[in-house]
Amino acid sequence: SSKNLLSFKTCYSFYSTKASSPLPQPSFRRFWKNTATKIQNGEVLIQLDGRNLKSPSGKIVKVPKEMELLAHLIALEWDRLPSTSVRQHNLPITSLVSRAIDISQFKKEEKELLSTQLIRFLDTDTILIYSPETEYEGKLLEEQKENWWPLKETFENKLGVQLSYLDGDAGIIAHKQTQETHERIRNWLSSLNSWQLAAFERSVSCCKSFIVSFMILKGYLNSEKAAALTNLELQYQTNRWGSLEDAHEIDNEDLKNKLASSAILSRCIEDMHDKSNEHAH
Amino acid sequence: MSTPTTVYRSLLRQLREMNVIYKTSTLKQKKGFTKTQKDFLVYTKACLRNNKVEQLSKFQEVVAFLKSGNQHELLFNRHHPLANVNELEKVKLAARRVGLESPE
Repeated sequence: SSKNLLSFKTCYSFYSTKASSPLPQPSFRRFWKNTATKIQNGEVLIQLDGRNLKSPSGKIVKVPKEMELLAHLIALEWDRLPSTSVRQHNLPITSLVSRAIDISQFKKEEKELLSTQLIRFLDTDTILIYSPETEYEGKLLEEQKENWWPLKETFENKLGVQLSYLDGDAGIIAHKQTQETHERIRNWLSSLNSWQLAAFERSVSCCKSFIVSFMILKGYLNSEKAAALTNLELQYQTNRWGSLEDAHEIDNEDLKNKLASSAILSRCIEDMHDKSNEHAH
Repeated sequence: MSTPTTVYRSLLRQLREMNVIYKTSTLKQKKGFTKTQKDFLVYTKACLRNNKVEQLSKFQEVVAFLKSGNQHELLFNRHHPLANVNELEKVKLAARRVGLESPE
């Protein structure tokens, strides 16, 4: 079983360290046949040939019964895993759930740090930086205004803040929200649990928009629409200059995939809250 | 307008597509769905029977998730033909390129 453990570790490190050995070794070998989920004490575990799946930090990967869907999706990822290589995008839900488990173990300072990193995305939020009027005969700006402005207003109403935005004609200058806004947002972030934080962090880091991520978390936007909104400018560019399959399209699918994983987790969280409310009544 | 039935059907379609895309790169698969996939489908069916709007939007996201994942893998493999070839195979291929066979 020590052999099993070794290959399990290498599959998480994403690269082989044995490049200098005389005969190259396959970096990853699939060592299990069956992938299954198992319900135990109100939680769902994922098992590879009867052994519990663990996160890179060594914690057992498990989800509450209400989030059973996630366990099934994780099992699907490990079930179809290729035998020769593991790339990061092969395990989107596994990494998301592992992250949530890691965050739940965070100390206060670590949580503060995470909030600080997330808040910085609000200053440079994709949907607060508009393009110049001269670009694409003003059509891009028009579409941005039409689609982005309502999102900004919803966000302001829900969180009781006033956001500043950057006009495209202003050129490249630094943009920052007020101290008061930062404080409010920090308060809101500290009210989120580790599942919500993981879902939120995933979407912020791929669409670079605090506001769009908020909409996904709350269920005001579905992932497909969110991907289209954050990619507006790219859409105009590729429409004019053509798109490259191995760059634009792969990136776009990656973005959609990550936003969808965040949305799935967000919807599962809502289910859990509904269930606990039912019990309360 | 999507109903539980259409969502379930597109889920089936994506799983089938997944098996085609990963078949070339993964282990030799038997025909049809794997045990893990069947378990997932049983669970999905049970959820969709509830006929709640929230369940429907959740599974629409699952469809979007599987679809983009499949598409990503398909495009990735197309542009990285050596991505799923193991190291030993790569050595063999490199040797053949200059008319040699790698030693056994």
